[in-house]
Amino acid sequence: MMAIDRRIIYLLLFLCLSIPLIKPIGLPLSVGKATQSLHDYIDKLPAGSKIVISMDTSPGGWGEVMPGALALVNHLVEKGCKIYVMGYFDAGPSLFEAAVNSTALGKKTYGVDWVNLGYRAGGENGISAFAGDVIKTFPKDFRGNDTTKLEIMKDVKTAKDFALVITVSSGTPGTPEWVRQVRDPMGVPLACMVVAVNVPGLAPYVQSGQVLGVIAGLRGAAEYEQLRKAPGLGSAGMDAQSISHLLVLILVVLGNVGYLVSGQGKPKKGGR
Amino acid sequence: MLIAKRIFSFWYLIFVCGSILFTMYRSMKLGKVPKIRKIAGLDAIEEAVGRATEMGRPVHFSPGIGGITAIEAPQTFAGLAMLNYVAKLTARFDVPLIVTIRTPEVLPLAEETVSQAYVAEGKIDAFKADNIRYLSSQQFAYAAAVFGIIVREKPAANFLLGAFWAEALMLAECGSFMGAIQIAGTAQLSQVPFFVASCDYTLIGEELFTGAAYVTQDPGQLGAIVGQDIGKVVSAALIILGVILKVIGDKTLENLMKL
Amino acid sequence: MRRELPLAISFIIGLLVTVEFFFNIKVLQDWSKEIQNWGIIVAAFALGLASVNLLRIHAGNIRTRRENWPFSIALIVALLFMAGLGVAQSANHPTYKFWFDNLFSPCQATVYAMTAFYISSAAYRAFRIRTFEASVLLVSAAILMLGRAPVGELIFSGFPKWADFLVDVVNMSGQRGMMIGAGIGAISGGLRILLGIERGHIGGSSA
Repeated sequence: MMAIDRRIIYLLLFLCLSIPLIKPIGLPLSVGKATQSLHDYIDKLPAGSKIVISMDTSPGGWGEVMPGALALVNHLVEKGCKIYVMGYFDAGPSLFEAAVNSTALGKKTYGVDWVNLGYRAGGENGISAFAGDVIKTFPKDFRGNDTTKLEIMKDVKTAKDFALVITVSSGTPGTPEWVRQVRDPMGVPLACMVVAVNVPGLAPYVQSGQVLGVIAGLRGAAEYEQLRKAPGLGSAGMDAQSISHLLVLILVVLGNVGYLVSGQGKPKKGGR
Repeated sequence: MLIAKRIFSFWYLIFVCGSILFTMYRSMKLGKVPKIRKIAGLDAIEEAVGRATEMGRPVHFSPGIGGITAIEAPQTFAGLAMLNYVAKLTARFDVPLIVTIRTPEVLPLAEETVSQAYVAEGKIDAFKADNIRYLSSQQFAYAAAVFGIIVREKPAANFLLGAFWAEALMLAECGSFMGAIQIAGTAQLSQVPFFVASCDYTLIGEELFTGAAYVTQDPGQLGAIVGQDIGKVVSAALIILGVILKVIGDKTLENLMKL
Repeated sequence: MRRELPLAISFIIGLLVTVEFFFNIKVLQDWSKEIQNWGIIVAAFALGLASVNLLRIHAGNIRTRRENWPFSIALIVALLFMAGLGVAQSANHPTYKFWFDNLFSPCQATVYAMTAFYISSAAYRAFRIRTFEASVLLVSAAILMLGRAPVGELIFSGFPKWADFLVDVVNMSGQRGMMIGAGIGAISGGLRILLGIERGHIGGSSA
């Protein structure tokens, strides 16, 4: 029991992840405060509100944040918001461009209802530059158009012109950088869609009100889909997550039982 | 002249810097060198390099995947300072040192750090620039390349000291598979649990920043740690005072900090 | 001079950018923005330097027929092809997008997805009731895992609330403390680098 071969662990985990994806169970889930808060805020946005979606994610993290991002985009389109996509990770805008047609935004008019401003190098410096002057930071959009000639960019000068910034983030730059450069100095509301591992680190920002809502990984995406009554990839992944969590717990218990039974389990003081 | 809402931060920064400089002066000029508590991970570095020497296997070092211009820059510099120490040990014990780099601008710093360490030990002929390897700027391509290096080169010691993100667990698990002794350290709080779970020793948060001071026992750096602790004590006092004042409904401190 | 000049430049630029953050002085703000732009340019040149390093190492592997040298050929071909295509055309070119969307992105996502397997083997190995602290780690992890998965709510409806308590109260206070400590540590490190006392990153020992 002490020493299960890693390959057996990996095989069991693979089965626990893949079988529920093929044959969903449909376990119910409750909605957390942070997701509810963001949903309610977006629900109250007037039509025509300018919303930034910052794609601060790599292809690796996109798998986890994509369901929530797509659910958010659909909600924003339903509310008649204008969407400004940008990215401070090089792959971010490309990832959005590849996924846009699987959302309601794909049917909207580019340059009028939404725009992909593309990637801006420099990390937090780039966010700071955007906050001060949007057009100067993005003189051309992702598709090579002159941003001064796009209808959607009229009346957009600084970050203060936006009603909400949503960062879809799997790393740095991410939420803390947006808090420092846009939320705190300019008072622009900020929300985030992040990978689950980053959620504990955002707790201070949520508690202080600097971040008005968080969609936390796949679970947050499933909650958002439930609120919108539109199950998607997030909901599909929840059963797999449930079963795999149970497996890990069972393995941990087995490991500890073996550890105690083998006589190594005398509690010690201190430790690593 | 001071920008609004940054006045308190400015004076607080002056206070923290002042206390650091004062304690450094006390330590360097007046000889009042403070004692730092034992940090197991730092004590284990020499043991880890010694293990590599006995086993005839190389040492792998990663100073993190952060750069030198963003918020994680102090972690990268802390990692490079530790690299200097580890490089001196590997030069002394004639153990190959493989350094893997993700961020291009860190590469020349790492090369200079390692070569100077070898010069300091009088072993410049043993320095191999090819062992300081830029792998990829893409996070997971870097991780995959490090897997390959660890599996092929089989390092006996694996140092992961700097800013890490999602690849942290993977690098540590790979090293664990290969039986390396692992010492990790990061101030990326989201990755600390993964290092704790998979490494032999973990430096948490500012233990990474104190690393260079601890291993070299340099009076100036040790003095700076005391200055940092003064800053932390004052922060804790402000928090406690703030809680008390908030409970009784007094907004003086709150308004002061919003200046 | 070889060391003094970089230290002097670091000090002047660091001081300038720090002062600019706190003081409303237009000329400093303009210089600071310019310096930050230079930083991006220097990073781009460093990328070129790093690419040369990569080519040198892998060309050496091919020349000396080191183990797995055919992979070095694949790396060099891929590097030159994608870099050349990106420079000659753009990242929007259909061929570039094809390789990016169908090879690069899936590979990145796959490696990231492997984290699930690594954490399961790490948890199995590390979450042992060795000490009091390790036991607290184990119990907290179990509560969080059950609180975040729908199956946990089925087992006991209180798990999500317990998980929220752990994240919003226990974790948050620890995070705040560590953020303050790490922040002050970064100030100290930055101060030592600016003043030239810390020189490990340029190959010297401290002053």
